[in-house]
Amino acid sequence: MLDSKANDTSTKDVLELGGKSYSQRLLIGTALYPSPSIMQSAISKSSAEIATVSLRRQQGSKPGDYEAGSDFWELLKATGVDLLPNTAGCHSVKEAITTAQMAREVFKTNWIKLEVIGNDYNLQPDPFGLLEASEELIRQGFEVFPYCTDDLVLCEKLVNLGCKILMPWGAPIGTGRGLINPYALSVIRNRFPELTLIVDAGIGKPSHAVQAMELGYDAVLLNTAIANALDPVKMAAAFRDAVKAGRTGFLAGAMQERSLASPSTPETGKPFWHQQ
Amino acid sequence: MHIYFNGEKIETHHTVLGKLIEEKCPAGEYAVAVNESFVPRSEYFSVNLSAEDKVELVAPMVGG
Repeated sequence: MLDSKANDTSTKDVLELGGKSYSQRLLIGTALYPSPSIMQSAISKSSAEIATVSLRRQQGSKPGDYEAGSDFWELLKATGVDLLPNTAGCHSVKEAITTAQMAREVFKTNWIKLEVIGNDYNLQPDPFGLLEASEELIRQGFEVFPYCTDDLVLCEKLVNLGCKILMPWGAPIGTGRGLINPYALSVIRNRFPELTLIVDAGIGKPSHAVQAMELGYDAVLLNTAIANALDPVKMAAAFRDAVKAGRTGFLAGAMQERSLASPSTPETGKPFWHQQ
Repeated sequence: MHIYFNGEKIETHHTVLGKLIEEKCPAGEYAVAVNESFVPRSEYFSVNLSAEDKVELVAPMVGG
């Protein structure tokens, strides 16, 4: 099934997500940027069509407080991207469900990046809470984007509940370690060839994004790798190009690895060779 | 009575959620939950507040 996707050049290569089509396969976060203008420029340079957002207690806007409230909302609307609200920081099923419901009212979308955090040390998803929250939110009509680990059993259970999208981590959030278990990600890809799979979290360098796309993943979501770069706008461009390169490489069909060397230059006619 | 508003214990004379929200006069887009349960905007004036209730008022924020 993956081979057929790689060989199919008959249709335009679009990302189908939650009933909409997108030409870009990089999703971007909105947090941690040094300034509002850098956030806007990075989003623009990345060409991302989807950005993640959150809900937090409204403390009231102060001058320069762009990260919350109406100032941020106006900045974000100006980018023109589609929004994917998250339930970041939720540790219980109830918190996550309530946050999703509030997000639906505020952002007017039924999309929700579902995070149910089980461990504050590595911010690892709580698999049990994730399943329970996913089931309820799907029942309430949400399009659930579950942030999960690379555990195949968890992924199977999410799919059985009705998830049409999975977002397994590359590595814990904000670590920049890349794909710490590409084998597990590859197994998930091969197990669910028709599902939309997005590597989310842990990406640090453009090469990590290339690797994820070369595995056949449909998209990559990242935030810290761009926002914390020395030059976030330049890094946004790098990731835009990396995701494209990885996707094109996947569709082109990479050569098979070999155990032994195989010369690329023809042996026939090679000078200075004498039969013994 | 005392309630909690965004984690802070406050004194309020309002017994209806909608009146409390009006007093807080939030700017821009926001959503509300009471005791960890979402309250749709259309129901703000249908929800009564009791002592020790926990009200959360949230707004759009950056996120990853």
